Amino acid sequence: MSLISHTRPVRMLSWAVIAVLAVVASACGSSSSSGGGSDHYTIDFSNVFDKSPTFKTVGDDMVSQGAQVGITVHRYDNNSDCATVLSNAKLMVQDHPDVAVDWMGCEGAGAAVGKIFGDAKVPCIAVNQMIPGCSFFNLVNKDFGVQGAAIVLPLVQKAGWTPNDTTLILAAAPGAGAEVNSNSRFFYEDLAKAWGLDMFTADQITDTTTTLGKNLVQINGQGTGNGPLEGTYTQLKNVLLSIPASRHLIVFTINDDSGLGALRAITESHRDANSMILSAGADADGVNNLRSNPIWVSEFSVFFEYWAEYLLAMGVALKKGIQPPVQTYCPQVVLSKDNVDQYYTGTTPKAVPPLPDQDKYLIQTGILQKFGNIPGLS
Amino acid sequence: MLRSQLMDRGIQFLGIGTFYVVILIFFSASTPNFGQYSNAINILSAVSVLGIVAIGQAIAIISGGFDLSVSGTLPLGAVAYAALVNRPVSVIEATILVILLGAAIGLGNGLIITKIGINPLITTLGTLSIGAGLAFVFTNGITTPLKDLNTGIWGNTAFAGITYDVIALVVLGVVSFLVLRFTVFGRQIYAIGGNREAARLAGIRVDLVSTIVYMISGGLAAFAGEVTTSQLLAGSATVGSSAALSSIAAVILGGAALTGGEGGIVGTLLGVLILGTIADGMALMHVATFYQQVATGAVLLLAVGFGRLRQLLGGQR
Repeated sequence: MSLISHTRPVRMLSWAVIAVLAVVASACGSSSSSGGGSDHYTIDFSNVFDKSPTFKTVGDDMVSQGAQVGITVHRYDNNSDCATVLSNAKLMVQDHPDVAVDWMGCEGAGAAVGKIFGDAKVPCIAVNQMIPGCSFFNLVNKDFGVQGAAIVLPLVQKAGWTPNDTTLILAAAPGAGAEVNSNSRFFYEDLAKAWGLDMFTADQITDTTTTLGKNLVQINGQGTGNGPLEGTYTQLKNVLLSIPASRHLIVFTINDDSGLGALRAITESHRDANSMILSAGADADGVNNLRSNPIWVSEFSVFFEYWAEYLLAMGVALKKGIQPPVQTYCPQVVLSKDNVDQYYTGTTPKAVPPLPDQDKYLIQTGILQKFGNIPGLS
Repeated sequence: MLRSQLMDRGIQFLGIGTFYVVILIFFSASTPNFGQYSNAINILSAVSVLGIVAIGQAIAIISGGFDLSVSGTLPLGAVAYAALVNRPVSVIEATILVILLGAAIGLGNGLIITKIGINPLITTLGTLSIGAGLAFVFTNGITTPLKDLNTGIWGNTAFAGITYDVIALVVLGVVSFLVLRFTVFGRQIYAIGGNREAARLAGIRVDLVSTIVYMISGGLAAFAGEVTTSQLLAGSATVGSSAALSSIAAVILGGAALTGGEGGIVGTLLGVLILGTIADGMALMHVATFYQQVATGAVLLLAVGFGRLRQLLGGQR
């Protein structure tokens, strides 16, 4: 027994040495790289979280649409994990792409990732969260809040609700950063200004806010390890116990999973007669609810279906030396029951808004024209 | 006789080291970038944090315990280091304070387990939650960037592309290997893990040794948090959530028994390397993460299964 216990580590050590030798040997035998050629671009794309169908679609589109326009896309998954983000950034640099596109999903890694790309002199695009030294592609979360407030205000006034009998519940994304959470925070600020709720500015609502004044309650819409659907459902169900049934509810959720969780909690609590839900993502469930469910009053669409062509165009622009603006905007619109038919057929997007001015540099790449989805471009 | 020897050799060949070599050969043949020197460095750097945590976890498991609290201590160490060096406190002072912070959490674990008698699983699950929660409380959930990027030393290159985090892992690995194998304290840990009551009767101060084990595990987890902050150049409360399960997986992959008394540092680090290499190789092959999860789980079961098979064929129980 003791002999075995003493020989085992020696044997393991032997194998470890063999393993290291194998790495070194293969290192000596391989020195090739897959650098992009002059007329065929290679883009390395690290997606935020492939386990979400919505985000996975963007990754799938990058590969398939890239192939359509002669761009090879190598794909990675950051899994919304900082360590994986760093590891993938190093793998992308190692691949020597023409452009690296990184959708981190990790608030803390920006500086380190920017350093990795900068040291390797790889042109880069940051998606959704800024990376120092990279061009930035993002939605404008604040618009969701501001335009959402504009949609809700006439509805609550028409329904006869007042600031004295209404509670706003923000299903936020703590830890995701101020930009991401600016949607719900500006929603509250703008509605408070316009309607006379207890006044708090967006800056005063933080990740640790739970209640402010008599109108604001904030919960964790991402869930704590159980995802936004279950997370929002559980937290909202608990919170509703402390809010009198006579009060009206306006629930602002961060995505459609969170929205569905909120809907379930409200329905089970028999509060659907005096509730409104605003959601984001415009997936099939979200758009269906906007069309058919009276309490689902708004849906923020950022047209994920078209992000790939924007990112491909951005990549080509960078490679061609075209200087992008500080931020390139993704296509986005806040849907209401009145305008949903303008942008969607059933649950499928049929049109995106025209390019905003700061995105018009993308036209020079010719990529968007090849897909023909942007109004006015062919 | 010859057949028996050949079979024994054959089964031995199916050990964890062989497994790693097979994985290396497979990925080297499958993707050209895998065999590059820079990728070997990437793998080592990527596993350094998990490796440091796993060393502490290995010692805890060998002693017959468990330390789930590493997933709480790690983010706490990460945000504490960022806060300290931003004050500014020197890197050395901050490192000492962070390790002491982790050791203090370990001391709490050890005292609760040995003096109150609460199961290690429950105890460390509780301190996991406390540590992770405190990390958010201290930072308000906001990531703390390092004001002076030079304080993120563990992510910097030392020589030939090798970063200091890798050197830290190697040094800690060697030291812990030597301590476990060649010191009285190390043998006491194995003895306690093998049979706690027998160890007590043999005169070993079981409670003291167990408490020190948790202090080591906590200190290493907090230090791993510091390394994470160095790599990210920012302290985030969201890091390390998978550290507990991943480190346990690595320790088991390396041949340790959950019942204690078995295992070692070399096997643990090999387990860490296997997990990191699979993740790296599959990312280079652009395999969807769904399959990566499946493959990692399958490799864990296969490796442990082969180990068990070898034991059975060798007549061990």
